[in-house]
Amino acid sequence: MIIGLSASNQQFLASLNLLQSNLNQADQQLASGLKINQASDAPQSIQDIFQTRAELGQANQTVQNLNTIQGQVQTADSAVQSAIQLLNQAVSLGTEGAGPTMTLPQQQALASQVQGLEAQLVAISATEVGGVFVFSGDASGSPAYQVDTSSPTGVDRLITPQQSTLQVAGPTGVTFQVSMTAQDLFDQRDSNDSPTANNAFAALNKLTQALQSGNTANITQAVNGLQTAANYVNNQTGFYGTAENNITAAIDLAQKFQVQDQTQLSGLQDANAATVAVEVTQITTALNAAMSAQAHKPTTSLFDFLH
Amino acid sequence: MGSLFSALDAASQSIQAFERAINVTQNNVTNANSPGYANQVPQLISQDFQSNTGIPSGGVLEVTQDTRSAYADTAVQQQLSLQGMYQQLQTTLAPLQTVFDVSSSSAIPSALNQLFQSFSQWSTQPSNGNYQAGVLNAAQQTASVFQQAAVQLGQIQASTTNDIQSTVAQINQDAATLQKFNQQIAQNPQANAGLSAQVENTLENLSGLANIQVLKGIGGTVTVLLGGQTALVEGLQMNAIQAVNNTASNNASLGGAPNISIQDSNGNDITSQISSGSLAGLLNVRNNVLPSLIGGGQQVGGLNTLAQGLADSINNVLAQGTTSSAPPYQAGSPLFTYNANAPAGIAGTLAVSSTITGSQLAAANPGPPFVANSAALTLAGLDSSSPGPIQGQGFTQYFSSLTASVGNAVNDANTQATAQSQLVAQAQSLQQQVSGVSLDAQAVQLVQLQTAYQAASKVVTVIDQIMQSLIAMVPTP
Repeated sequence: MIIGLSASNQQFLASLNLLQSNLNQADQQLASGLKINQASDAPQSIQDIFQTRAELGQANQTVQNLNTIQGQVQTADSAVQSAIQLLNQAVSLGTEGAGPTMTLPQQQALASQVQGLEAQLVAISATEVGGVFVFSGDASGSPAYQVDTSSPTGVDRLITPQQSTLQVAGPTGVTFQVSMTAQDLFDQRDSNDSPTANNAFAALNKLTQALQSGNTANITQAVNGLQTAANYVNNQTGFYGTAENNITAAIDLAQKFQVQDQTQLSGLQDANAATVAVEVTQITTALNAAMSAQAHKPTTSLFDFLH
Repeated sequence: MGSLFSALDAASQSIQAFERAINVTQNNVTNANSPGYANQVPQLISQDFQSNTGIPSGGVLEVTQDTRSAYADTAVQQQLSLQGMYQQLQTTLAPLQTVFDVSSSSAIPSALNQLFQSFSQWSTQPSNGNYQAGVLNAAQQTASVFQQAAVQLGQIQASTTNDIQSTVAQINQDAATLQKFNQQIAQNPQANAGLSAQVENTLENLSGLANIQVLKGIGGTVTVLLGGQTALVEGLQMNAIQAVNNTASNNASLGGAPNISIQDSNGNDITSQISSGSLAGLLNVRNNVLPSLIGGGQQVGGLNTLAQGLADSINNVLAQGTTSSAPPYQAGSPLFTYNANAPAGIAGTLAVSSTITGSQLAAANPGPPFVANSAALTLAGLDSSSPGPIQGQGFTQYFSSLTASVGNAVNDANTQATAQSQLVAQAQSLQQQVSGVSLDAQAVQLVQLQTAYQAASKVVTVIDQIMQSLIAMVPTP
């Protein structure tokens, strides 16, 4: 006898260890719900698992980002609609003020109302969602305008220059723009920084001044100018429509990626409970059979029969 | 009368031979389970018998035959040596799987995901202080997990080095034991089954530690060659080996730990001769697997490559970006720092710049055209950019290739160790068939010897009676 344990017993133990190891692995799969619990379980799948997890994380973050931005764009869109109504209201007031029966006090009263509308427009330019001033462009942490009746436009710019270069990335990495600045919408200026005909703030301020002066010709001219500015703002609503469509499409795609990644990940790492349970049963049966067979092996030798 | 005395003498010798044979059988039965013991077979050899010349001898002469097979023993030693290597690889590689974890909470991939998600969130509102803090926190967490991984790998490296030292000590201890056995054999060259068993058992232990070649000398002395070349035990001489840092082939400028070499008693490097046994497994992990991950010897290590690639790529994007919204553009500050003087220690020194604040994170790219979050978006997509920043791979992809390499190594070791257990059992089975003690055979032999002994005793009784008869024939005076 060269070894301490008989060779057949040694072989039995080696086989038993193998069965036990397989049983432990199956138990671990059932307990964790995962078929891959350590790298050695399936080294060839590791790259796919990590990559899919990263892609899923990215898709989740993209959906979260887009949902936040969707809220901002929807709020901005509503704000622009409010601004358009407000400008139309100012046009009506101006038209009323240009009427032949209007007295100066009545016109000045209307001027006060128009001034109030301008203040409301300034408030709209400072629309905020979750700490983001949606019309402040890149400098979204602070409002873009404040009322200043002494200014030619009736407002002061708090952010200069105003630009909105922020890009939003969709799930494929394609970027698009989703915001306009208050300057783009209500404070259009030429290259010399002078207000253009589309400048709503300036138009409102002109109407206020015209109504205060009671000059009908000026009021009429200011109303026409305000109408031009209102039309311009109205035309900008298309931008937000497009932005909202882009965001909705990007969210849809990102959610598809989420489902796709989750499905792929599940296929890569999740254990099939039924299959594993059958495996456990098979191994347990084999283990019991092996132990039973070993236990029933004769333990006698010829010495037991010697007298 | 002379013939009768000769016959009596022969019968007496036979009885003694049977006694010795029974002793051998008893010894076989006693040592049936003794490690290394080989079955001893008593050989009964008949002596000359010439009835015509009046030499009626014919008694048996007993000699003992050792059933030990050098072929079977060598086969077992070789399989044990391979088993020792694969089992050692299993044991030593297993802790690496905790560093290169694949669970969803796996440290490095999770930290990387968090980092890139924080960049993505930051890109939606670069001036948001919470988002900036989110980036800094995620970066801090990333640096921290790299440092932890480096520490863990360093501990495994140190532990493996200790294991090599203790394995070498065991080899030397076994060699010293064999040297003592050789001395005992030299002092008493007669066959000694017990001593032979101890020698074989020690050789099998030694085989599990390293690949050896055994040459048997006169009387059963052994010469043990490590790797078939370096004499570990040679007659009464033992040549100890030692494990030392291989400073000669170490690239000190990398700052990693030097590899470990095995030297013979003359200081010659015999590392390449160690091809199996647990020492080979340890050397493989210590000199190849671990340096490929954490650096050492001539290698920078994958984890350090990843840490440097990550830090450089992110810092580069930030440096090209700007924190200003209008000219003159202020370049961004680096987010990560590391000790570039020790490339093999970068993962351990990766840290977030101590001076950086959220507002110094450059989200914009001056262009033209200027885009307020272009740098942030670039950072958010850095891991999935093509081609990737590290040898054409993304960070997650590179880490997964490191993890897969560890997984493959462990998987291979598991498979080989399982197969090797069966091969060892097969070799031992063959050895047992050739040299093992069968209790049934011993029982049969005992019965045979008992019968022979009784017959020989009866012969003595009969001869005694004949002699009594002859003596009785002589008339009394």
